[in-house]
Amino acid sequence: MSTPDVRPARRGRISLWDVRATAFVTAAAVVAAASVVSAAGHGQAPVRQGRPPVVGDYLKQVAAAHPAIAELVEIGRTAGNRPIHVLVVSNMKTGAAIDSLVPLQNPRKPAVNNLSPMKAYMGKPGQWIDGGAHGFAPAGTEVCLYVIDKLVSGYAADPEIKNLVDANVFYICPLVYPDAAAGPGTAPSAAAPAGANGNYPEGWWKDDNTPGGTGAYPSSSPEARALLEFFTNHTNILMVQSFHTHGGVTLRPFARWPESRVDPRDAAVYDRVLGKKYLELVGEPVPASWTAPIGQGGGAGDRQSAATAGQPAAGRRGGAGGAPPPADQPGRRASAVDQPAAWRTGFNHDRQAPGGFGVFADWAYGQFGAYAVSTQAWDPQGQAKAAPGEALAAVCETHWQFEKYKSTLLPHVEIAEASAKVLYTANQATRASAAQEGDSVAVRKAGVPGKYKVVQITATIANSGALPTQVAQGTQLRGNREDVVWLLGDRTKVTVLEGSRWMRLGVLQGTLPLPAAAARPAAQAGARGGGGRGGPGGQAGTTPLAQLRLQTPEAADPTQVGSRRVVTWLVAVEGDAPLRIAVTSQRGGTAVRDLVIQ
Amino acid sequence: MHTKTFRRRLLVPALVVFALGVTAGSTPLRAQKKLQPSPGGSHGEMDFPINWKQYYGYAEKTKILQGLQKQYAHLADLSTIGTSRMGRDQWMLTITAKATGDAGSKPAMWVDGAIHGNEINGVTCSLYVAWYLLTRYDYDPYVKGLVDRTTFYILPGLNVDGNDSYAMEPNTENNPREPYRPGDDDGDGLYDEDQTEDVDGDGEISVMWAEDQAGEYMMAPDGRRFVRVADPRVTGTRFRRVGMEGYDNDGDGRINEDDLGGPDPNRNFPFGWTLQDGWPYPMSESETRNVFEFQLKHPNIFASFHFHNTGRLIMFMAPPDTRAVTMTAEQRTAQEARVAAQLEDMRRTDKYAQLFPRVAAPELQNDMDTQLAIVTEGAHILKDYTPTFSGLSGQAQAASYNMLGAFAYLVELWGPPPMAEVDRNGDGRMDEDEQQAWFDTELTGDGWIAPHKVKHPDLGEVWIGGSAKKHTGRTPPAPYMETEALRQTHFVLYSASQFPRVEIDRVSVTPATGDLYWVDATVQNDRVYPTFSDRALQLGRATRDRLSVSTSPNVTLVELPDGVVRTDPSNAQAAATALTGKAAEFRLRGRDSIRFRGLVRMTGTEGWVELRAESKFGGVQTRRVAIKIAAQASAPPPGA
Repeated sequence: MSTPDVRPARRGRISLWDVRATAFVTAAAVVAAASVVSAAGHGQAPVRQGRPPVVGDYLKQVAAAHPAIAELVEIGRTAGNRPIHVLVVSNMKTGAAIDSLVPLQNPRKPAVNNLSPMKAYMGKPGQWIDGGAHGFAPAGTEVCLYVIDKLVSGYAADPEIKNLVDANVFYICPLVYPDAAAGPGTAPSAAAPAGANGNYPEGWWKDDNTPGGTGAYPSSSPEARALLEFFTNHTNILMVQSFHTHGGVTLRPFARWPESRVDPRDAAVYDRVLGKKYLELVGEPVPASWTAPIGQGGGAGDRQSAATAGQPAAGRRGGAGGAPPPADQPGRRASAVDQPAAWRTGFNHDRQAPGGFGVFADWAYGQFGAYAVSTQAWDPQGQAKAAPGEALAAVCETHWQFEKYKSTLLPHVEIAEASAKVLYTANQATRASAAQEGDSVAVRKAGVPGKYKVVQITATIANSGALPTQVAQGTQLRGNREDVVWLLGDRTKVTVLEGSRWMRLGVLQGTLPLPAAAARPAAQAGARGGGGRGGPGGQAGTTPLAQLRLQTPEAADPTQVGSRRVVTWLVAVEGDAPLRIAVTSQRGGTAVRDLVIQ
Repeated sequence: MHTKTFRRRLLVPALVVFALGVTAGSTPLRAQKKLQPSPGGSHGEMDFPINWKQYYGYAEKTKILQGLQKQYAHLADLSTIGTSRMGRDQWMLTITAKATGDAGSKPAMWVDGAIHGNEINGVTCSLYVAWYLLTRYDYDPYVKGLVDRTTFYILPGLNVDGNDSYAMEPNTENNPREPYRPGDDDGDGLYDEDQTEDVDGDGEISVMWAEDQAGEYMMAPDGRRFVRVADPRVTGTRFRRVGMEGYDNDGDGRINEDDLGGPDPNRNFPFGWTLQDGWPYPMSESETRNVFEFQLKHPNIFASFHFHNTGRLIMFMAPPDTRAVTMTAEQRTAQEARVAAQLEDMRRTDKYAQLFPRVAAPELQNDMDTQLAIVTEGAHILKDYTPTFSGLSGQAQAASYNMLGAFAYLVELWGPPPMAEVDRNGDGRMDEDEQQAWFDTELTGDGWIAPHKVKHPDLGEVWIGGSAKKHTGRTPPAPYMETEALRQTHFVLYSASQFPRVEIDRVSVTPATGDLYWVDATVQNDRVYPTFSDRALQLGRATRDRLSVSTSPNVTLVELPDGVVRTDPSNAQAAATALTGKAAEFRLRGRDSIRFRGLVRMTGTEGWVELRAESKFGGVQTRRVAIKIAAQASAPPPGA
């Protein structure tokens, strides 16, 4: 991978968009975009008055110009009542949401109407990209706009981009904190003195139960709440990227917790997949221990993480990788000395240190379950304090490449094979039951009489993507679930004899080999539903509800691991009632296949 | 012989007259219009009649609240603190005598009910508190005093969507408990897709039973219940317990497995919040966030009550226990034994006495002592309620205390029927026969759903019934509602009556020498609560009490060294805090007083000294002492 051209701008005041404005589809967008970024400054680019409306206008124009692949969503309002926009980029005609596939009947009356139908793109793997969380981070916003432009303008011309936009969904929020970006003095400091970042619930409290993060309480800022709410309602997000401006480094979790809290499987993805690629893109040597194939045997390299990365492949500090990993030693400081400069954790063992509380990326990984990183997109020190412009163009291109790479790793569940074979026919769908009293036997025949085909269905479910459908401990986090497969058919004509209408599959691994799961203490909560009662904290209401259940959906077969599952049903089908299979993964998409009865 | 001349010559300033004047820091109180001295008389109940033998849905409750505000506009404001997920207003009454000051200027009591949607007894109790205060204001000096001095923020129904459903629609006694955030309880990818339904259309959600010879139940001989078969050899029709009424909405072979509702709202507050208990994030629900945002913006809130069902518990917030780090296991066991013995001894004379082995950190011990005093009286008022420590885990009362420094109480209302009514065999518990007798006698046949056959679209023929109605277990049936509400109101009012009241007491001026005079004053708080909690001090949210001195122009305060001055040279214990030119800052605990002494110099024959005590929660009081030197004939000089 070649090193991107990040030469300092010669005279400054060179607009990225002046260079490549022709990429925009509409003239209006060109004007809007040019006005967004044309006043590039020095080192710390000045925040310009009127910026948020211009960004918003641009997003509206993109959505209007590309309705087939873009949709603009206002996810909340700031303390200053400015809209926070997310541009959804995905092929709006592809994807399937599970709620559109499973028919419901006899609903409660009166209906509550507390939820709206899922969007089709929520049935695809999701990638979140944001910028401007601190307002004063214009480079992050620029990268987001650049990514949007690449996606929408490349859709028609670039097959690779088309595939990504068809199969995935990108949620891009270029300006998380528009109040601060609107100009000096416009941010209501009391609401969120440091913007949304710092106001998230992961690691917000100090060890002594006094506040550590920003705001009156975690999620008190409307900006953080907007993102938290959006994520809660879009659990298909597996990749999270925040772009900030200053520093020239990408930080991955955690800022408040030592490496022992990061599962080695996730550490491998973070460092040896994402980190390796990132270092290649920015031109920094990759640690030698990250270049060996990731195996299942738990070799030294398999446990080597950014916290202990040590030596680069180029031998920057000499020696080979593979030193005993002290990564799981709580409290060990992960310093810039033993980590790559451009890719590392933010952890600081000083528990009284003022920073690192309530960090967004830490929340997105630790409590939401996404591979989340935070990038200080532009390093003014490394760039000799050059103004954006050509340098910014290079920064944008580098990080666009990174985002594009990440989107190729997303999991995709599919029904690789499926067959429905008639074993025999019968005149009733279920076995008859008999109740004997004395010499009298009462035979009860359930189901509607008729000709039934008893059909054996076998399906192979697979994840064709590189990454697993959840992070290593993803299903332990409340709000997340396992992948499941549904057998769909007319309930009056299809009777399930063996198996159940939906079955758990566990977490489908990806094609990318990851280290074996380390022996860990028993999880506090097993894989289960996405919230509501039934969780450990549910208490009142839990027991009665458990009593309601007629049967427990079959647990995932523990003998089936990896990226494939074979599932079977035995069903009685009346007449030619159609059958179909739907596999739905929270973060790996939803796939449907009609069955042909043989 | 005394002569006039001699008298004139001896006219010396020998008589000093002190006159005290007291002013409160607010408008004079209004006279009570309809004082009712007779406990057998009307106390305003019929001025705004409410039927306290029923539960109210959102529309009816809103109408009641609007009516109360309109009729008692001089005492009440009605506002919404926000809306629920489904767009219902969270109506809050702000009650205080407007003539005596703005609501925000007075110490406030927060009262909410039914954060859990199904626990609507809390709606009744919090609404009753409001009604009691408003209707009795003109009749009852105790209530008038409280409403004059205190602000009550009363939210009768926090989880308004769930509250309305529980009051108006068929439900089990356990649902809907949470706000209406959609959740995927069973992990099938669908949200809230399989809820309870009233299959037989009788307005209740009861239990469904299917005839099944492999079942564990049989119909009881009385035909009212299904009982577990203890002896497998017993023959007869067997039943399987299917579950609560409902349909298999998503066709997965299960019923009611993904009912309405998201996170537990009382695990959704920020302090002690966890993802597993409070998913998806702190204050994620508009219903809870509206409450906490209001509380953050109203630092005059001194204490809070949160009504839940059930259990008959007074769950109070207290400082953490330090014994795990300060005591060995053996020491702890011994200490608990000592406390138990001491409590047993105390209960020989007071059956409501309370004592707990918890040991707070020294800097928080006063909070522990204060709460012990309050809940002891609470146990007395509520009779069969048990005080116990509240948990943390994202609960509202935990945030009130730990983040705002307010004294906080969660009351679990109601429980099994009163033992005195049901325990016929005197074994201290209620068995099923005794429960049935209670339904028949105290509830005159109401409260129980007899088994009956129903055609079920998914299950065929089923039996439904053999269970209590929801307003018997989770919430009290009509005959018990007002008794429960009245007792809770008395507890809330008792707590409010013990808000700190700072007064300047026993002011005296004593001639020192020449034109110098000692000014002595005692500032006291005769209530149980301190002027601020230990936790508020720890959080930096406390405002210290102050005593300042002002004088007439001819009176000057003589600067004394900061610290303690002795008031009796012969008694080392007789000491007071020195009054200096700057205001003294201090803290009064519950039932506490502090003595102050200052030295003033007065020229001329008349002057005054004014003391002003200010306490954020204890109020403001000013006392002025007028000093007059009157001419008086002294004893004749020697030899005259």
